[in-house]
Amino acid sequence: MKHEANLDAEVRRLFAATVEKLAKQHHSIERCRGPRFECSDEEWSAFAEQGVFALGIDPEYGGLGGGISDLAAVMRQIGYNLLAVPFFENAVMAALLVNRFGSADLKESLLPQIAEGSVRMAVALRDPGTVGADANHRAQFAGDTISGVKDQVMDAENASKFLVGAHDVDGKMVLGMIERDSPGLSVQHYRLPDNRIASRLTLDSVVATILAVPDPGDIQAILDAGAVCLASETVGAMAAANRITLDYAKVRRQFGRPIGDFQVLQHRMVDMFIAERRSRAVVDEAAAALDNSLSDRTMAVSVAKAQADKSGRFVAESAIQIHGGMGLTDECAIGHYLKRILLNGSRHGTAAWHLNRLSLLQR
Amino acid sequence: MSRSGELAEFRKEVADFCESRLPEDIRRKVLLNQHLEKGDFVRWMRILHEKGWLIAHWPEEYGGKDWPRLKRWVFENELYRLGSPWLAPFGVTYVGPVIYTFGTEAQKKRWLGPTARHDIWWAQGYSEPNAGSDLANLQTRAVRDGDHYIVTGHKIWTSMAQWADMIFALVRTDPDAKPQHGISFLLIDLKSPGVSIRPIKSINLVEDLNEVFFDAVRVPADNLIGEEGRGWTYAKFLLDNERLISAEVGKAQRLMEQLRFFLRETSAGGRPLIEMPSWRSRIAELDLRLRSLVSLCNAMFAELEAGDDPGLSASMLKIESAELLQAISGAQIDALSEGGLSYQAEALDPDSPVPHVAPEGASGALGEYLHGRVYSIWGGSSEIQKNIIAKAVLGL
Repeated sequence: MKHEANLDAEVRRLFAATVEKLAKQHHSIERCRGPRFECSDEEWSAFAEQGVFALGIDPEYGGLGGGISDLAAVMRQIGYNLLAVPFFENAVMAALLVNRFGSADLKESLLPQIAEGSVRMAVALRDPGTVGADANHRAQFAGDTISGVKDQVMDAENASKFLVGAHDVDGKMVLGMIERDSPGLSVQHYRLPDNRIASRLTLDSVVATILAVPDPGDIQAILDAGAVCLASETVGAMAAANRITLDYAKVRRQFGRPIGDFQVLQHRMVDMFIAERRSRAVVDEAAAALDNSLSDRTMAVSVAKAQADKSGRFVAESAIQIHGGMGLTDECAIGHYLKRILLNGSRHGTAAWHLNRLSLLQR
Repeated sequence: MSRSGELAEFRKEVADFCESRLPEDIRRKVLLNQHLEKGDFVRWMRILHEKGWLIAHWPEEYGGKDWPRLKRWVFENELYRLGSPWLAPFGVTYVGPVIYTFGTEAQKKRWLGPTARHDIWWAQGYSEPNAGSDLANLQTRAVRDGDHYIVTGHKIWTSMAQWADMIFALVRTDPDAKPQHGISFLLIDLKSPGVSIRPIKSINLVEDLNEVFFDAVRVPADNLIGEEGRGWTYAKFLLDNERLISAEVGKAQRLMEQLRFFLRETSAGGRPLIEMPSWRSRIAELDLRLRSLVSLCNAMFAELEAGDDPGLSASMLKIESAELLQAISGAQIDALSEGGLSYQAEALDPDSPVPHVAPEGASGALGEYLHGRVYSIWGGSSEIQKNIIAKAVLGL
């Protein structure tokens, strides 16, 4: 998975600015408060019109040819602004999977649709009771149908197609593409603590279009790219939590002065700032390692995900502490950032999963 | 019998009673970290009162048994370890002792009985929007008008005010005095005209915290406790009691048991987490902290009986206890994530039909983790407690 043609820095900045502008137009922290926090059709269309979903797709399929670093930059804005737009499901995971494993025909028909946002997809790789980090999929593919259970599928309510991870009768990994209204597919939705909706898919002999996976290592590489993108979203959430906390510490007065005057809080906020910067550094390096197919990219990915998840927890918990009682209210943005950080930490490998992978790479 | 032998025997007696008398529906809610109703709390507290234990730490002349603090602490924490709900302390541990220590005979006669029986649900009116860590900055005004005070102001973070009948509030009676000297301690009927209560939705979606507004509320002057302008002294007396009981070791023990349960029930890579060396050392580390906290509590309570100032031990225990409770619930979240919990929110939304993948109690664990951020904030933040110790103990 080599992306020679990363966008140049100027284009990447422009893209980040576009997402920020869209966030201002379509989003407020009020929406996070639920009861359901979803990307509306209108919001989806606005992102599509700006070409955001085309970012990582090859130019021959109507995309901009960006790499993981470019996708991660948009994910950072999504985390910073706490958006519900399913960019990760579509522009990152679906685009990478179809591009890597799709037949020539499928790529030609589907990638342009993803790029222009005329199809909304969901990705069902995760088995129940797993951390979604590796390519072990218990769902079974036989004949031309898939049976099994997939969990924590995001945006399944709005998606018209699903990409499902499975094994065939010989134990070889496959990806199946299924349609929303296929017979045998049942979808149970549940609300996540941050009011986004996740779903469990139960497949009973659902007819699927099969994407062959000659080497499971290639799936792992895409799951790793996903891990880095989620880590980047967490870095964005950290940056926002730090900014909000810093602003609050300057205006909240106790004992006749801003609480930011107290050294104990200054030191804590410095630790939070360092945590954000160190996470940003490892995430950016991991994204670059994936784009350049560096030999130590597995280690870089696990460093990035474990570091961002751990630092994110520290930053968000500290942000609440500095806000005091206010930080514990649903009205305050900080709690919503903590929830997003927790959820990102539970996807594409927990910090513990990535630390374990790091431990196996120690010599 | 030795002192520790007596306590061990007492602990057993409490455990046996809790085992046989704590209603099963209430125990279950607590063990699963679910939300409790007012009736759940009151039902259990009345059972404890019948047994003579709820106010046993009060002096005999007011219906208690003169239990020393250590015995009360052992009592509460043994209950919490076994799944007892929190014993709402506002009446029996906070305002009751203030009334029998600083109140008039008439006030004792009027308030102590119903407080002991839990016929009154008390709320605590301390914090205000601009008086959190800096409590002495509180601005709620009480102006004397004949036999009454006219109270106007705004309290916040008032726990369970939505259920309360009465509030004991710190009010400013002299705006010209130094901040700590112009404060008085007033009992206010929450059904009085001019009182309004607005719930605050918390991070765990529960609405147990409130704002309480007073708009020219008339309060009989008979409801002033002690002397006008001495409220800060009574508040400090009360806060010391609050911080002492905040060492919720029994709850920490219960959450540790639940963590071990999650580690047995949760697997990663086909292997229960509890078998993993990394998890074994992490729970050993937590257990080390827990056992050390128990010893620290024992030592502190022994010093209290020797007549030391409770405020200083209270600050230390509050810091240690808050950090430990947060560390344990953080470990629970990590364990459940590692087992692939998809963070279903059914505890946050009991009506949502959700497929189960996680061990029983898992979603309540997330609520406890989120709620648990409060331990290092309420009753005086950890930063404030450290300032107190630095100044009063270390002399810095």
